Amino acid sequence: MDVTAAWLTFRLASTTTLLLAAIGLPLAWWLAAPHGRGAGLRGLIEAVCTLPLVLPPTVAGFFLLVATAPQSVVGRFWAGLTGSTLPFTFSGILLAAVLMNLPYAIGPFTAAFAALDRKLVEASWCLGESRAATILRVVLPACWPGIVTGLVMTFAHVVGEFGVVLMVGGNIPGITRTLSVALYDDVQALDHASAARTATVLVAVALVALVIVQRLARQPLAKGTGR
Amino acid sequence: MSQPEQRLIATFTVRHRSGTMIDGSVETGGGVVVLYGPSGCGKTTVLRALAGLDRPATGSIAFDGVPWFDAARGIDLPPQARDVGMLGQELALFPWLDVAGNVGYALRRLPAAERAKRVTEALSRFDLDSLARRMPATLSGGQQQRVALARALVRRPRLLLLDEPLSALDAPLRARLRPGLRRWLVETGLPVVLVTHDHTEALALGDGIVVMEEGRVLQTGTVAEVFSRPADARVARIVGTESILCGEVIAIEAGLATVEVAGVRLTAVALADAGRLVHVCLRAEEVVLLRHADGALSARNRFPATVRFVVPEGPLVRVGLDAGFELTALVTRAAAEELALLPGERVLAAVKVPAVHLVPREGLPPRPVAVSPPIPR
Repeated sequence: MDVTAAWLTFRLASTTTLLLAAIGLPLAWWLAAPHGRGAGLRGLIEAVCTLPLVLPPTVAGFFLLVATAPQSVVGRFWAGLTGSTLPFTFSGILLAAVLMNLPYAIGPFTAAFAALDRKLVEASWCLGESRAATILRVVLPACWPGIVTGLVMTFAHVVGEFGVVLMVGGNIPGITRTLSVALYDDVQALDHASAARTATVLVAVALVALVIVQRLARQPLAKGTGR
Repeated sequence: MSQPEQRLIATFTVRHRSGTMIDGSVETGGGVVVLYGPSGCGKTTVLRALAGLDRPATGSIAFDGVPWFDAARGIDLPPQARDVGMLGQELALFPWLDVAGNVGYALRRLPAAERAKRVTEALSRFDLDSLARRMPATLSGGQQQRVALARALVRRPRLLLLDEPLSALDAPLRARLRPGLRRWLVETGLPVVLVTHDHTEALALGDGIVVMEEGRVLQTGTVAEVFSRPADARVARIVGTESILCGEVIAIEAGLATVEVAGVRLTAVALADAGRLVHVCLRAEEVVLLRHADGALSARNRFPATVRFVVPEGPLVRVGLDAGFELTALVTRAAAEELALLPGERVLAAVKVPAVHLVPREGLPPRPVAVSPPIPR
């Protein structure tokens, strides 16, 4: 198995998960908020966040490649900011992974926040706790199974991300060659023994993730007492 | 008792999510004010606006001279800054915290020793000592309610808001908890605003009452006043035509209680665990009127009364009486003519013992019952 690719995959998956926690949690909180204005905008953003689920990764990868090209708006902005380009770099596949995995984070986050009993939040406010403190003391304890589910699903899915990474990042060892790209390489080179080892690791990661998610789904604390 | 400056003055209009406008008007300097009306009349919305959870469209809310909400001046304090104890219809105990954790939730900023002391005090006050380490889901409805009350009171709020505090409990438990709840509310010395659609609950828990229907305030006054003298037919339909009198149980013998109301002694079926102070409820249709005390009559309660007013109501006549306390009787037109009921006439009123309903009333002494002029029609 390609250890460099494994380390790169781990870095990509964990960074993507952290970024999606930072972006996805506030976004999901807003999406799950009951009644109020902006229902149309909310629907649009929800659709955009779900799009990667139905879009072929190669299609998404193609558009990303075009959108982040050095002459594009995003490409020029990125070049001005960092002096480098996005396609065929780690930053490029990171951006692709974040966008492609939005649904895996936003979905469980939004479901957890929507299931949260708002009365608990209001009770905390009336007990004098600020909005920020209420998020730490009520929202997190009540929603953590859903939040962790989103993070685990995201991590596991990034580990297996293939099409979009190949399209945006190509196949550069140590920079954009992830485990699934390395697996594809092995098969192309007829090195089936190495491919089998890599595939086994990927199956194990997915399996562990699913076991964790299933256990979380049975957490009784996700719901209120009903009264 | 509450300090005189603890005065809540609120008049506002809230736009409900459904689009209906709900007028709220509450003023209290202490005691328990009941927001009373049929389900869906906007009581809960008014309570939420007082807590700062719903923002009114117009009007103002001030407590202790401090504006909590003022549409004209753009003031709207968040719930955190209003210092209220709020008990929603769902008690909203935190399911991941045990009883002590729930009760101590609001005391995070206190030093650990002080926090533990306050929690212990609150637990013992509500008979929860033995349940400190239990999780909310394992408690009975009555226990959960006590935990929620302890949690709201432990931080010493300045105003207590309760939404249907007993509605989630079954009927026998409700009847058992009512006197205790009234005692706790009075003991806090805080002004309390309590929402209920339950007739008995309003009588047992309230000092003042605000009657609401379809988002409008119909009548405000003391519980006895409003129930005994509904301002108009709409209020009468909501509260029932009933005389509510403040009485004192002076003796109980063989299951029957002798209750003194403004110098008149009435006999009623005794309550199992009532205290000395009771509300005496007499439905207008249960009051029999006689011209003379001749002949045997099964009704044991008989007392002289003066006719104050006579108001026709369809086939019936509503007769206002003064028997030392105010009383209303509903009789047929024929009976009214036969008895020649005219204001100023002396008659004899009679009520059967089972028709005298007692509602226990803990805490405050009965207010003197003032006889006021007849209601203008």
